[in-house]
Amino acid sequence: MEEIFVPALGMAMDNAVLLEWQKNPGDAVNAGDVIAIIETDKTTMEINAETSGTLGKHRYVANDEVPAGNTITVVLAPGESE
Amino acid sequence: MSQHSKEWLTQTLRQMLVIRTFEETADKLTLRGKVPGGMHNSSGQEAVAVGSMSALAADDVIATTHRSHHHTLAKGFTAKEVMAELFTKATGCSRGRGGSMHLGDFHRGHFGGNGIVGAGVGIGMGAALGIKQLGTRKFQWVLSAMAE
Repeated sequence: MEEIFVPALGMAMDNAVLLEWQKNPGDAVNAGDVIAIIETDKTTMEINAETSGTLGKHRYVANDEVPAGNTITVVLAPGESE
Repeated sequence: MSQHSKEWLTQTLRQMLVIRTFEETADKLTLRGKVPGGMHNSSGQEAVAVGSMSALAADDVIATTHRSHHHTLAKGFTAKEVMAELFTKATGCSRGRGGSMHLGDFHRGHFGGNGIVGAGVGIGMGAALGIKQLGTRKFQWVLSAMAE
């Protein structure tokens, strides 16, 4: 299971806004796929999956503020569950 | 290469791998927001640190930069005490008061990293002057991260 999380970038980044989901729970995910788009205090960026599998539950909804470092969803390998 | 023993080469490679593994681990923890103040890693510069430190005597002094994990580990500090310092724990090499950019220990010839680019030059000069006046030991300082 790969946890998809908002990376803490820079020395003083606290929160990011989850702008948009690009994958929904149950969707097939390929390594490198964009899972979500977030906005930090400096930039808008894509969050990608590093592994392939199936997307788990969304733990936040669009426009939620997410603390840096927090997991927003997971990519499940075959046979795995949350 | 031929003038070096297999043991020396193995030990050197091991040190480089420890540094790379240490920093990859620390980087993952930093992205998770676990490391206060963040960190600057030195991936790709392991050989510079291990090579330069291997030319120093144990009582030679170094002053390094904001990017100093590799110098510190190559100077002989343990991964455990350096990682503890990143987490500002009392068991860290700077007793948790320094964090990633202020690794060091005067008693082991490490006059510290610091957050100002180039400031290691002044620290190195001061250390050199002090050592010269005391007439105690030889002195070398390292600032290789300046060019990295």
